[in-house]
Amino acid sequence: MQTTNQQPLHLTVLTPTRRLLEGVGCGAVYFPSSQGVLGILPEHTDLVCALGTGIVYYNSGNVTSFLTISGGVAQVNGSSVTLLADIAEDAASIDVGRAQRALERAREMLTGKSDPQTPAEVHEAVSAEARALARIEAATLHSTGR
Amino acid sequence: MPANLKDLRTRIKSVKNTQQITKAMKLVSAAKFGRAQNNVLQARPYARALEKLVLKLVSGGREAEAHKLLQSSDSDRVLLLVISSERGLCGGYNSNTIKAAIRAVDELVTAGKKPVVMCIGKKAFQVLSRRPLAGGVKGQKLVTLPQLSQDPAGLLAENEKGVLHLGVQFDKPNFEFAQTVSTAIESAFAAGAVGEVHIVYNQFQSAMTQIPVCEQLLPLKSSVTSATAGGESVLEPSWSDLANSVLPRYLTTRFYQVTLEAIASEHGARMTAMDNATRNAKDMERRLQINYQRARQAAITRELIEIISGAEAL
Repeated sequence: MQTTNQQPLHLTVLTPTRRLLEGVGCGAVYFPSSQGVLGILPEHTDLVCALGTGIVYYNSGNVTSFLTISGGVAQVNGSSVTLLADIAEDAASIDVGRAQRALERAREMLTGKSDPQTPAEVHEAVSAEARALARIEAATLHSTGR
Repeated sequence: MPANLKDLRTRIKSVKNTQQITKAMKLVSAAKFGRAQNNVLQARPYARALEKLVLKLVSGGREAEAHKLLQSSDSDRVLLLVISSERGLCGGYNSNTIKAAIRAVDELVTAGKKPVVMCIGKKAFQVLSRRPLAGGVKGQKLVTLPQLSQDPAGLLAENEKGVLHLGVQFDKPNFEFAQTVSTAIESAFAAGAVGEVHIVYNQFQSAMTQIPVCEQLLPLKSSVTSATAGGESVLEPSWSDLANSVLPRYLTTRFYQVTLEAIASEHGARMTAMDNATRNAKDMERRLQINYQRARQAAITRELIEIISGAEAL
Protein backbone atom coordinates (compact mmCIF):
# COMPACT_ATOMS: atom_id res chain seq x y z
CA MET A 1 0.00 0.00 0.00
CA GLN A 2 2.69 2.50 0.92
CA THR A 3 5.34 3.35 -1.60
CA THR A 4 8.91 3.99 -0.58
CA ASN A 5 8.66 7.74 -0.95
CA GLN A 6 5.69 7.78 1.40
CA GLN A 7 6.27 6.95 5.06
CA PRO A 8 8.22 3.73 4.89
CA LEU A 9 8.45 2.93 8.60
CA HIS A 10 5.67 2.30 11.06
CA LEU A 11 6.39 3.12 14.65
CA THR A 12 4.45 1.56 17.52
CA VAL A 13 5.19 2.51 21.10
CA LEU A 14 3.51 0.46 23.81
CA THR A 15 3.80 0.38 27.58
CA PRO A 16 2.27 -2.23 29.88
CA THR A 17 -0.56 0.12 30.78
CA ARG A 18 -1.32 1.92 27.57
CA ARG A 19 -0.53 2.44 23.93
CA LEU A 20 1.19 5.65 23.01
CA LEU A 21 1.59 5.30 19.27
CA GLU A 22 0.28 2.67 16.96
CA GLY A 23 1.59 2.31 13.44
CA VAL A 24 2.55 5.95 13.00
CA GLY A 25 4.22 6.40 9.63
CA CYS A 26 7.66 7.96 9.73
CA GLY A 27 10.85 8.23 7.71
CA ALA A 28 13.36 7.48 10.41
CA VAL A 29 13.38 6.49 14.07
CA TYR A 30 16.14 7.03 16.58
CA PHE A 31 15.90 5.36 19.96
CA PRO A 32 18.24 4.62 22.85
CA SER A 33 19.21 0.98 23.06
CA SER A 34 21.05 -0.37 26.06
CA GLN A 35 24.25 0.02 24.03
CA GLY A 36 23.68 3.55 22.75
CA VAL A 37 21.43 5.41 20.36
CA LEU A 38 20.28 3.42 17.35
CA GLY A 39 18.97 4.94 14.15
CA ILE A 40 16.50 2.92 12.15
CA LEU A 41 16.11 3.81 8.50
CA PRO A 42 13.94 1.99 5.97
CA GLU A 43 15.15 -1.44 4.85
CA HIS A 44 16.80 -2.05 8.21
CA THR A 45 17.53 -5.67 8.95
CA ASP A 46 15.32 -7.44 11.49
CA LEU A 47 16.50 -6.66 14.97
CA VAL A 48 15.64 -7.30 18.58
CA CYS A 49 17.40 -5.22 21.19
CA ALA A 50 17.11 -4.03 24.76
CA LEU A 51 16.12 -0.42 25.37
CA GLY A 52 17.92 2.05 27.57
CA THR A 53 16.75 5.38 28.92
CA GLY A 54 16.55 8.41 26.69
CA ILE A 55 14.75 10.17 23.90
CA VAL A 56 13.04 8.70 20.87
CA TYR A 57 13.02 10.90 17.74
CA TYR A 58 10.88 10.15 14.78
CA ASN A 59 10.12 12.33 11.82
CA SER A 60 7.02 12.07 9.78
CA GLY A 61 6.96 14.49 6.88
CA ASN A 62 9.11 17.39 8.02
CA VAL A 63 7.93 17.33 11.60
CA THR A 64 10.15 15.74 14.22
CA SER A 65 8.46 14.43 17.35
CA PHE A 66 9.94 13.36 20.64
CA LEU A 67 9.18 10.80 23.31
CA THR A 68 11.05 9.69 26.35
CA ILE A 69 11.33 6.03 27.15
CA SER A 70 12.99 3.92 29.77
CA GLY A 71 13.66 0.22 29.81
CA GLY A 72 12.10 -2.52 27.75
CA VAL A 73 12.76 -4.09 24.38
CA ALA A 74 12.57 -2.99 20.77
CA GLN A 75 11.80 -5.04 17.74
CA VAL A 76 12.36 -4.13 14.08
CA ASN A 77 10.48 -6.42 11.78
CA GLY A 78 10.39 -5.45 8.13
CA SER A 79 8.90 -1.97 8.03
CA SER A 80 7.48 -2.01 11.53
CA VAL A 81 9.38 -0.68 14.53
CA THR A 82 7.88 -1.72 17.86
CA LEU A 83 9.12 -0.28 21.12
CA LEU A 84 7.90 -2.13 24.19
CA ALA A 85 8.96 0.31 26.87
CA ASP A 86 8.53 0.06 30.63
CA ILE A 87 7.89 3.79 30.77
CA ALA A 88 7.10 6.07 27.86
CA GLU A 89 5.94 9.65 27.76
CA ASP A 90 5.03 12.01 24.98
CA ALA A 91 7.20 15.13 25.04
CA ALA A 92 4.11 17.34 24.88
CA SER A 93 2.74 15.94 28.12
CA ILE A 94 5.91 16.23 30.20
CA ASP A 95 5.71 18.31 33.35
CA VAL A 96 9.08 20.05 33.39
CA GLY A 97 8.73 21.20 36.99
CA ARG A 98 8.14 17.68 38.17
CA ALA A 99 11.06 16.36 36.16
CA GLN A 100 13.26 19.10 37.65
CA ARG A 101 12.25 18.14 41.16
CA ALA A 102 12.88 14.44 40.39
CA LEU A 103 16.31 15.37 39.12
CA GLU A 104 17.12 17.28 42.28
CA ARG A 105 15.93 14.38 44.43
CA ALA A 106 18.04 11.90 42.49
CA ARG A 107 21.13 14.13 42.69
CA GLU A 108 20.60 14.57 46.42
CA MET A 109 20.53 10.80 46.79
CA LEU A 110 23.74 10.47 44.78
CA THR A 111 25.71 13.17 46.55
CA GLY A 112 25.13 11.14 49.65
CA LYS A 113 23.27 13.45 51.96
CA SER A 114 21.61 10.43 53.43
CA ASP A 115 23.16 7.35 55.01
CA PRO A 116 25.36 4.88 53.16
CA GLN A 117 23.28 3.41 50.39
CA THR A 118 22.84 -0.08 49.07
CA PRO A 119 23.92 -0.75 45.48
CA ALA A 120 20.26 -1.13 44.52
CA GLU A 121 19.47 2.33 45.86
CA VAL A 122 22.41 3.85 44.01
CA HIS A 123 21.31 2.11 40.84
CA GLU A 124 17.78 3.39 41.33
CA ALA A 125 19.04 6.94 41.87
CA VAL A 126 21.25 6.81 38.78
CA SER A 127 18.42 5.61 36.58
CA ALA A 128 16.05 8.18 38.12
CA GLU A 129 18.55 10.87 37.24
CA ALA A 130 18.81 9.59 33.67
CA ARG A 131 15.04 9.52 33.34
CA ALA A 132 14.67 13.05 34.67
CA LEU A 133 17.39 14.36 32.34
CA ALA A 134 15.75 12.68 29.36
CA ARG A 135 12.39 14.17 30.25
CA ILE A 136 13.78 17.67 30.62
CA GLU A 137 15.68 17.44 27.37
CA ALA A 138 12.67 16.07 25.48
CA ALA A 139 10.48 18.85 26.82
CA THR A 140 13.02 21.46 25.77
CA LEU A 141 13.32 19.96 22.32
CA HIS A 142 9.56 19.87 22.01
CA SER A 143 9.07 23.49 23.07
CA THR A 144 11.80 24.84 20.78
CA GLY A 145 10.30 22.79 17.99
CA ARG A 146 13.79 21.95 16.70
CA MET B 1 -53.67 -13.03 51.70
CA PRO B 2 -54.63 -12.53 55.26
CA ALA B 3 -51.50 -10.67 56.38
CA ASN B 4 -52.29 -7.46 58.13
CA LEU B 5 -51.79 -4.12 56.51
CA LYS B 6 -49.02 -2.85 58.71
CA ASP B 7 -46.84 -5.94 58.12
CA LEU B 8 -47.26 -5.57 54.39
CA ARG B 9 -46.36 -1.90 54.50
CA THR B 10 -43.09 -2.60 56.38
CA ARG B 11 -42.29 -5.42 54.01
CA ILE B 12 -42.73 -3.20 50.96
CA LYS B 13 -40.57 -0.53 52.50
CA SER B 14 -37.76 -2.96 53.24
CA VAL B 15 -37.85 -4.41 49.73
CA LYS B 16 -37.68 -0.88 48.37
CA ASN B 17 -34.64 -0.15 50.51
CA THR B 18 -32.88 -3.29 49.34
CA GLN B 19 -33.64 -2.36 45.78
CA GLN B 20 -32.11 1.05 46.32
CA ILE B 21 -28.92 -0.49 47.67
CA THR B 22 -28.54 -3.02 44.89
CA LYS B 23 -29.19 -0.30 42.35
CA ALA B 24 -26.48 1.88 43.84
CA MET B 25 -24.06 -1.06 43.92
CA LYS B 26 -24.84 -1.77 40.31
CA LEU B 27 -24.06 1.80 39.32
CA VAL B 28 -20.80 1.76 41.26
CA SER B 29 -19.63 -1.47 39.68
CA ALA B 30 -20.75 -0.29 36.27
CA ALA B 31 -18.39 2.67 36.61
CA LYS B 32 -15.58 0.49 37.92
CA PHE B 33 -16.26 -2.09 35.26
CA GLY B 34 -15.88 0.50 32.51
CA ARG B 35 -12.51 1.52 33.87
CA ALA B 36 -11.36 -2.09 34.35
CA GLN B 37 -12.43 -3.04 30.85
CA ASN B 38 -10.55 -0.08 29.46
CA ASN B 39 -7.46 -1.17 31.39
CA VAL B 40 -7.67 -4.64 29.90
CA LEU B 41 -8.01 -3.27 26.40
CA GLN B 42 -5.17 -0.79 26.86
CA ALA B 43 -2.82 -3.45 28.16
CA ARG B 44 -3.62 -6.02 25.49
CA PRO B 45 -1.48 -4.69 22.59
CA TYR B 46 1.63 -4.64 24.76
CA ALA B 47 1.02 -8.18 25.97
CA ARG B 48 0.42 -9.39 22.42
CA ALA B 49 3.51 -7.68 21.02
CA LEU B 50 5.67 -9.00 23.84
CA GLU B 51 4.33 -12.50 23.33
CA LYS B 52 5.22 -12.33 19.64
CA LEU B 53 8.67 -11.13 20.53
CA VAL B 54 9.17 -13.93 23.03
CA LEU B 55 8.06 -16.45 20.42
CA LYS B 56 10.59 -15.08 18.00
CA LEU B 57 13.33 -14.98 20.55
CA VAL B 58 12.73 -18.50 21.80
CA SER B 59 12.24 -20.16 18.45
CA GLY B 60 15.10 -18.39 16.71
CA GLY B 61 17.63 -18.79 19.48
CA ARG B 62 19.95 -21.74 19.19
CA GLU B 63 20.39 -21.74 22.92
CA ALA B 64 16.62 -21.97 23.35
CA GLU B 65 15.51 -23.90 26.40
CA ALA B 66 18.68 -22.72 28.06
CA HIS B 67 17.00 -20.07 30.17
CA LYS B 68 15.96 -21.02 33.65
CA LEU B 69 12.38 -19.80 33.19
CA LEU B 70 11.91 -22.19 30.26
CA GLN B 71 13.23 -25.29 31.95
CA SER B 72 11.10 -27.40 34.19
CA SER B 73 12.75 -28.20 37.46
CA ASP B 74 12.47 -31.54 39.21
CA SER B 75 10.63 -30.28 42.28
CA ASP B 76 7.17 -31.83 42.53
CA ARG B 77 5.74 -28.83 44.36
CA VAL B 78 3.33 -26.77 42.36
CA LEU B 79 2.41 -23.25 43.37
CA LEU B 80 -1.22 -22.59 42.60
CA LEU B 81 -2.20 -18.94 42.56
CA VAL B 82 -5.91 -18.34 43.02
CA ILE B 83 -7.29 -14.91 42.27
CA SER B 84 -10.65 -14.15 43.81
CA SER B 85 -12.24 -10.97 45.08
CA GLU B 86 -12.04 -9.25 48.44
CA ARG B 87 -15.76 -8.64 48.61
CA GLY B 88 -18.82 -10.76 48.03
CA LEU B 89 -22.13 -9.96 46.34
CA CYS B 90 -20.85 -10.74 42.90
CA GLY B 91 -22.92 -13.72 41.84
CA GLY B 92 -21.08 -16.92 41.01
CA TYR B 93 -17.74 -15.20 40.56
CA ASN B 94 -16.01 -16.44 43.69
CA SER B 95 -17.65 -19.85 43.89
CA ASN B 96 -16.70 -20.53 40.27
CA THR B 97 -13.11 -19.58 40.97
CA ILE B 98 -13.01 -21.76 44.07
CA LYS B 99 -14.54 -24.69 42.24
CA ALA B 100 -11.94 -24.35 39.50
CA ALA B 101 -9.19 -24.13 42.12
CA ILE B 102 -10.37 -27.28 43.89
CA ARG B 103 -10.54 -29.11 40.57
CA ALA B 104 -7.01 -27.96 39.76
CA VAL B 105 -5.74 -29.13 43.14
CA ASP B 106 -7.37 -32.54 42.68
CA GLU B 107 -5.87 -32.88 39.24
CA LEU B 108 -2.42 -32.00 40.51
CA VAL B 109 -2.72 -34.50 43.35
CA THR B 110 -3.74 -37.26 40.94
CA ALA B 111 -0.74 -36.37 38.80
CA GLY B 112 1.44 -36.96 41.82
CA LYS B 113 2.30 -33.34 42.50
CA LYS B 114 2.15 -31.43 45.73
CA PRO B 115 0.08 -28.32 45.24
CA VAL B 116 0.67 -25.28 47.41
CA VAL B 117 -2.15 -22.79 47.26
CA MET B 118 -1.58 -19.06 47.36
CA CYS B 119 -4.70 -16.93 47.40
CA ILE B 120 -4.96 -13.39 46.25
CA GLY B 121 -8.21 -12.02 47.56
CA LYS B 122 -9.71 -13.23 50.79
CA LYS B 123 -12.85 -14.93 49.46
CA ALA B 124 -10.99 -17.93 48.07
CA PHE B 125 -8.75 -18.01 51.13
CA GLN B 126 -11.72 -18.26 53.48
CA VAL B 127 -12.97 -21.37 51.72
CA LEU B 128 -9.71 -23.03 50.70
CA SER B 129 -8.09 -22.60 54.10
CA ARG B 130 -10.79 -24.82 55.58
CA ARG B 131 -10.10 -27.70 53.21
CA PRO B 132 -7.42 -30.27 53.85
CA LEU B 133 -4.88 -29.81 51.10
CA ALA B 134 -1.84 -31.87 50.38
CA GLY B 135 1.51 -30.28 49.76
CA GLY B 136 1.37 -27.22 51.93
CA VAL B 137 3.61 -27.36 54.95
CA LYS B 138 3.58 -24.61 57.47
CA GLY B 139 6.60 -22.39 57.76
CA GLN B 140 8.38 -23.53 54.65
CA LYS B 141 8.63 -20.01 53.26
CA LEU B 142 8.39 -20.98 49.64
CA VAL B 143 7.69 -17.50 48.48
CA THR B 144 8.97 -14.42 50.18
CA LEU B 145 7.68 -11.00 49.36
CA PRO B 146 9.27 -7.70 50.23
CA GLN B 147 6.93 -5.43 52.11
CA LEU B 148 4.90 -3.55 49.54
CA SER B 149 5.89 0.03 50.11
CA GLN B 150 2.79 1.84 48.93
CA ASP B 151 0.37 -0.57 50.49
CA PRO B 152 0.81 -1.28 54.20
CA ALA B 153 -1.92 -3.91 54.04
CA GLY B 154 0.09 -5.99 51.61
CA LEU B 155 1.09 -8.96 53.68
CA LEU B 156 1.80 -12.55 52.97
CA ALA B 157 0.09 -14.62 55.62
CA GLU B 158 0.02 -18.34 56.09
CA ASN B 159 -2.43 -20.50 57.95
CA GLU B 160 -1.72 -23.74 59.81
CA LYS B 161 -2.44 -25.85 56.73
CA GLY B 162 0.15 -24.00 54.71
CA VAL B 163 -2.30 -22.10 52.55
CA LEU B 164 -0.80 -18.77 51.69
CA HIS B 165 -2.78 -15.59 51.52
CA LEU B 166 -1.63 -12.42 49.91
CA GLY B 167 -3.73 -9.72 51.50
CA VAL B 168 -3.82 -6.84 49.10
CA GLN B 169 -6.60 -4.64 48.02
CA PHE B 170 -5.95 -4.63 44.37
CA ASP B 171 -9.04 -2.86 43.19
CA LYS B 172 -6.83 -0.51 41.30
CA PRO B 173 -4.26 -2.74 39.68
CA ASN B 174 -0.81 -1.35 39.33
CA PHE B 175 2.12 -2.64 37.44
CA GLU B 176 4.42 -2.37 40.45
CA PHE B 177 2.27 -4.85 42.36
CA ALA B 178 2.41 -7.29 39.45
CA GLN B 179 6.13 -6.79 39.30
CA THR B 180 6.65 -7.46 43.00
CA VAL B 181 4.61 -10.65 42.95
CA SER B 182 6.07 -11.98 39.73
CA THR B 183 9.61 -11.31 40.92
CA ALA B 184 8.87 -13.25 44.10
CA ILE B 185 7.40 -16.13 42.14
CA GLU B 186 10.27 -16.08 39.71
CA SER B 187 12.88 -16.28 42.42
CA ALA B 188 11.03 -19.13 44.15
CA PHE B 189 10.96 -20.95 40.84
CA ALA B 190 14.57 -20.22 40.02
CA ALA B 191 15.66 -21.45 43.45
CA GLY B 192 13.90 -24.74 42.77
CA ALA B 193 11.44 -24.36 45.66
CA VAL B 194 8.54 -24.93 43.26
CA GLY B 195 8.56 -26.92 40.06
CA GLU B 196 5.60 -25.31 38.37
CA VAL B 197 3.39 -22.29 38.85
CA HIS B 198 -0.24 -22.37 37.84
CA ILE B 199 -2.82 -19.65 38.13
CA VAL B 200 -6.58 -19.88 38.55
CA TYR B 201 -8.63 -16.83 37.62
CA ASN B 202 -11.73 -15.73 35.79
CA GLN B 203 -11.01 -14.96 32.20
CA PHE B 204 -12.81 -11.88 31.09
CA GLN B 205 -15.19 -12.37 28.19
CA SER B 206 -17.90 -9.80 28.69
CA ALA B 207 -19.95 -8.32 31.50
CA MET B 208 -22.21 -11.37 31.39
CA THR B 209 -19.68 -14.16 30.99
CA GLN B 210 -16.51 -14.92 32.86
CA ILE B 211 -14.76 -18.22 32.38
CA PRO B 212 -12.79 -19.65 35.28
CA VAL B 213 -9.56 -21.06 33.87
CA CYS B 214 -6.38 -22.63 35.14
CA GLU B 215 -3.24 -21.70 33.25
CA GLN B 216 0.37 -22.63 33.58
CA LEU B 217 2.54 -19.62 34.31
CA LEU B 218 5.92 -21.27 34.79
CA PRO B 219 7.87 -22.88 33.23
CA LEU B 220 6.88 -20.70 30.31
CA LYS B 221 4.60 -22.70 28.10
CA SER B 222 6.00 -25.35 25.85
CA SER B 223 3.66 -24.10 23.13
CA VAL B 224 5.81 -21.02 23.10
CA THR B 225 8.89 -23.03 22.30
CA SER B 226 7.40 -25.06 19.49
CA ALA B 227 6.37 -22.09 17.35
CA THR B 228 7.72 -21.55 13.89
CA ALA B 229 10.69 -19.29 13.38
CA GLY B 230 10.15 -16.23 11.24
CA GLY B 231 13.67 -15.66 9.98
CA GLU B 232 16.71 -14.72 11.96
CA SER B 233 16.92 -11.35 13.63
CA VAL B 234 19.95 -9.48 14.75
CA LEU B 235 20.04 -9.69 18.52
CA GLU B 236 21.64 -7.02 20.56
CA PRO B 237 23.18 -7.60 23.11
CA SER B 238 23.45 -11.41 23.24
CA TRP B 239 20.62 -13.92 23.32
CA SER B 240 21.06 -14.66 26.98
CA ASP B 241 21.15 -10.97 27.95
CA LEU B 242 17.99 -10.35 25.99
CA ALA B 243 16.32 -13.44 27.40
CA ASN B 244 17.26 -12.27 30.89
CA SER B 245 15.50 -8.98 30.35
CA VAL B 246 12.60 -10.16 28.20
CA LEU B 247 11.45 -13.36 29.89
CA PRO B 248 10.92 -11.91 33.39
CA ARG B 249 9.13 -9.03 31.72
CA TYR B 250 6.95 -11.48 29.88
CA LEU B 251 6.10 -13.22 33.14
CA THR B 252 5.22 -9.90 34.77
CA THR B 253 3.08 -8.92 31.84
CA ARG B 254 1.24 -12.25 31.89
CA PHE B 255 0.56 -11.84 35.58
CA TYR B 256 -0.48 -8.21 35.16
CA GLN B 257 -2.84 -9.16 32.35
CA VAL B 258 -4.32 -11.88 34.53
CA THR B 259 -4.97 -9.48 37.41
CA LEU B 260 -6.57 -6.98 35.05
CA GLU B 261 -8.83 -9.64 33.62
CA ALA B 262 -9.75 -10.90 37.06
CA ILE B 263 -10.71 -7.41 38.19
CA ALA B 264 -12.74 -6.73 35.08
CA SER B 265 -14.48 -10.07 35.56
CA GLU B 266 -15.26 -9.27 39.17
CA HIS B 267 -16.88 -5.96 38.39
CA GLY B 268 -18.69 -7.46 35.44
CA ALA B 269 -20.01 -10.27 37.60
CA ARG B 270 -21.07 -7.88 40.34
CA MET B 271 -22.78 -5.60 37.88
CA THR B 272 -24.80 -8.47 36.43
CA ALA B 273 -25.61 -9.88 39.85
CA MET B 274 -26.78 -6.53 41.16
CA ASP B 275 -28.83 -5.91 38.04
CA ASN B 276 -30.60 -9.23 38.62
CA ALA B 277 -31.11 -8.38 42.28
CA THR B 278 -32.63 -5.03 41.40
CA ARG B 279 -34.99 -6.65 38.94
CA ASN B 280 -36.02 -9.33 41.44
CA ALA B 281 -36.66 -6.69 44.07
CA LYS B 282 -38.84 -4.79 41.63
CA ASP B 283 -40.90 -7.91 40.89
CA MET B 284 -41.28 -8.65 44.57
CA GLU B 285 -42.32 -5.11 45.33
CA ARG B 286 -45.02 -5.25 42.67
CA ARG B 287 -46.39 -8.50 44.02
CA LEU B 288 -46.43 -7.18 47.57
CA GLN B 289 -48.08 -3.98 46.40
CA ILE B 290 -50.94 -5.96 44.82
CA ASN B 291 -51.35 -8.00 47.99
CA TYR B 292 -51.42 -4.81 50.00
CA GLN B 293 -54.11 -3.24 47.81
CA ARG B 294 -56.21 -6.40 47.99
CA ALA B 295 -55.93 -6.55 51.74
CA ARG B 296 -56.82 -2.88 52.03
CA GLN B 297 -59.85 -3.30 49.75
CA ALA B 298 -60.94 -6.37 51.70
CA ALA B 299 -60.73 -4.45 54.96
CA ILE B 300 -62.84 -1.59 53.55
CA THR B 301 -65.43 -4.00 52.19
CA ARG B 302 -65.62 -5.81 55.50
CA GLU B 303 -66.12 -2.57 57.36
CA LEU B 304 -68.86 -1.49 54.96
CA ILE B 305 -70.65 -4.81 55.36
CA GLU B 306 -70.48 -4.43 59.11
CA ILE B 307 -71.92 -0.94 58.96
CA ILE B 308 -74.70 -1.95 56.53
CA SER B 309 -75.67 -5.05 58.45
CA GLY B 310 -75.61 -3.01 61.65
CA ALA B 311 -77.96 -0.44 60.06
CA GLU B 312 -80.31 -3.18 58.79
CA ALA B 313 -80.54 -4.72 62.24
CA LEU B 314 -81.99 -1.51 63.62
